[in-house]
Amino acid sequence: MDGRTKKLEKLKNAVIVVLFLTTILLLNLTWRSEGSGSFRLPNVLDLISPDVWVPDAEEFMVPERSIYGFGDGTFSVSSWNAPDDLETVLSLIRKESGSASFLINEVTPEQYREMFTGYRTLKVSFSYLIPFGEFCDRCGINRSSSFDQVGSFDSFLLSEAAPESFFVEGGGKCWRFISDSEEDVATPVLSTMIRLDPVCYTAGSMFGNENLSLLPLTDSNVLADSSWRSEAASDVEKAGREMAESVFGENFDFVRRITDSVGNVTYMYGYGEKTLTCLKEGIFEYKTETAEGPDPGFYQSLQTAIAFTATHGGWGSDRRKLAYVLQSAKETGSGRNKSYTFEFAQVEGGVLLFAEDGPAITVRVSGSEVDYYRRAVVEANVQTAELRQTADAANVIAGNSHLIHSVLGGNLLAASSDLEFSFVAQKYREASAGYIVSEEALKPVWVITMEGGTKFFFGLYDALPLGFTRK
Amino acid sequence: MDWSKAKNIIIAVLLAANILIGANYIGQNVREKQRVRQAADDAVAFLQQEGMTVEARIPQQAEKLPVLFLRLQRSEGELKETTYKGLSIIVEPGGTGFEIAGTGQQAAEIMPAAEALLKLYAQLSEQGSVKGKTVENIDLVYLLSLEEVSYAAQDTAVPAWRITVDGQVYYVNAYKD
Amino acid sequence: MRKIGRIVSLILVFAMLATSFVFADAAAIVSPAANSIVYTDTLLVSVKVTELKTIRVSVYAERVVSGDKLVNADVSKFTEADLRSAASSSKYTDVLLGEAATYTNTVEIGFYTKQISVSPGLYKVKAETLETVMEWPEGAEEPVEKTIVTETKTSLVAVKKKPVEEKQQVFQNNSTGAVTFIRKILKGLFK
Repeated sequence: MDGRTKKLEKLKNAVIVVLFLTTILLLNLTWRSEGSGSFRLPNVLDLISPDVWVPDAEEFMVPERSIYGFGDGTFSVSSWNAPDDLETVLSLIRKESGSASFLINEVTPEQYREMFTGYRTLKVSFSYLIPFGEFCDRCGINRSSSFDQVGSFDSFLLSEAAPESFFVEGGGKCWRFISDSEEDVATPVLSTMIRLDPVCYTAGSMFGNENLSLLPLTDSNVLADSSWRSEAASDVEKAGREMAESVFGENFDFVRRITDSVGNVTYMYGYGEKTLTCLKEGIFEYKTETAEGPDPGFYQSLQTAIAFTATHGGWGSDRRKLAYVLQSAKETGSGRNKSYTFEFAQVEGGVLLFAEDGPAITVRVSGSEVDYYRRAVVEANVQTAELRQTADAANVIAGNSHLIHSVLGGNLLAASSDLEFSFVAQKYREASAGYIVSEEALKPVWVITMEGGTKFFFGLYDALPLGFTRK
Repeated sequence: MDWSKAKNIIIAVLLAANILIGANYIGQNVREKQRVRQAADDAVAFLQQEGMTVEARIPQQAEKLPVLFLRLQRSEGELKETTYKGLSIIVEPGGTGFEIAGTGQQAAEIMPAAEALLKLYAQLSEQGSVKGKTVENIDLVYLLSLEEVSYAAQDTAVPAWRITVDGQVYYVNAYKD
Repeated sequence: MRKIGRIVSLILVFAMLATSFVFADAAAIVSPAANSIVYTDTLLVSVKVTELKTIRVSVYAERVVSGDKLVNADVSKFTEADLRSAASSSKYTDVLLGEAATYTNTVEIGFYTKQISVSPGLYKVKAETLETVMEWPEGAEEPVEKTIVTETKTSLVAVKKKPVEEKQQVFQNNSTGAVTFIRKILKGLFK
């Protein structure tokens, strides 16, 4: 009897296990048929995961450079002092705006020229225009309705020519804010300005025209040819798939996937309402139909662009130091059709990286939604060499004026190289050192920015043409 | 503790649960099938009321299907009719050879045939009267349309209801929105 | 033979000079602008070269005799008219500052630029366009290379110290003084 009982108990054990498993199975079948569907991680990322680093818009609102004018035609330029200089100027303005009222006058071009070249002047500049009203609100500057005459700006100035005032410049205009307190706010700041190498002069001084844009007289640098690879180089296909999952979410498995003969992949949702193109070089481009909607403003749009980038490729792993700068911000359209296009450049060792086909990250925001995103981020292995003299910036421009003139579409009937040069000298805006991402290497270059934003790249040491942005 | 009695109780409870869940599951399936059949009948009735004749047999519920990745061969030659899970794979326009390179990782629910019929009706109504038209055939296929993308080396075919009306073939995307 | 050599070298020299007249203005002094007055302690010298030529740039301090020394000219009261007449005056002595520099332009347009430290006074910048010609000296068996100046440009500049009373004149035309005065009165009335 014992033996039979034992066998029976073993059988019961087996039956319990089987029944337990069938219960699980039936429950699973029931849940599936109720269409609970599957669980996809990208869905969760619609609520941004705490592991995703989303920088604040303020971290990108950094001035590009400070210009110190010494009143004798010489200037110094600094990019690393610019954030501190901006804070100095803003604290003065905040203090004045808290206790005084302002009379605002537009400065004439002649007055501006005399002030900028003939008097000690500090100019702190952004590389893009910012709506002045929004900026004042974000920075704690008390503003009155008279501030509205300044639509967008990119620079603040203090000048010995009017030490009780501050100046705001943007879009080719300059406004003088005259405080009724008549306190000398500029002199304490201007008296501490020191000369930095290299000395700069206006293009007008060097070339003999009216151009106030600055050029270094001579310069030297340590930048050398360096290697690079796409951030997706280790597995472009996987990177593309991850990007597509983040873009299309739960629809990823059902979007059309088109691969061309060289290996570029396009993901298409619907009849092209949303597309993501993944080039085999590790460049990604996302487009969707433009949404109409109320204008959320510059800062909110910038934050939207930053958040989108954070979840679609990210801002890098080192949260202590942002490896990108906001290089350009453009507004197009108006009202419900307003769009903001933000361009972000990579920074390596304090030097910007450029490419002919565009910046590292481009995001366009329309009505609070991102409708265009392009990502061409590289991993750079930057090398430096011994300090050596660079090609003369003035002669880089002069020697390549025919090329610049042709690209900018100057007067094609200009018979003489002198006329071509005059055209180029007038349109010149900025010269800085950087790297260009070329097929062979990261090459150190002079980045010559012209009116309208087109950038030309010339070898930093040999002035040879290496390309230009096709804007 | 009398484990033997406890086991008996557990067996009885699990058995009862299995029966309940099983009955519920079967009931769900039966109800769903009835619903689909009713929907198909209602659709046919509606179309006939609108002057369309439905000669085709309306297929019942289809299983969930993934997308198909096709590697295209643009050499000339006889087009091979290939199938996946019994469904024909159609590449429009014709003349392009292909082979199956893979499937999507997930499968999604397929729209009932009756719903596809109604969608087609709405589309045809916009173009003109549907009176006198006859639905001759309706079946589920995989469709790849190369009209806008002629450079692809690999592309994606999706399930579609192929509906023949008076000899003219129409395709309706079979994934639910 | 010697006579033929002399004639040939003369012909060569005249030919070079003639062509230099046809293609004149290879160099132009952009900075300092001719007969200009500047307030600075560093002078920007910028010379534009529009041909494939070599130039020689020299900067001179125009000094005057004072006792047994040469001193900087007093330009504190100089006007542009004074500068124009100074160009042809013989009372100034050219004193070369540093060394003359040469610059060879290898593209269509090039610039020679340099910054020079200066103190208040009168200065002259000279840009000479150089040519290498073949000359047959007397008694020589073969012609030799000789550098000649085919073109000379000069620019006079007066370097002054900016008087304090000239400062802060840029915005006087805005009549801010009057406006501020009225604003103050209104503010006082409505306090």
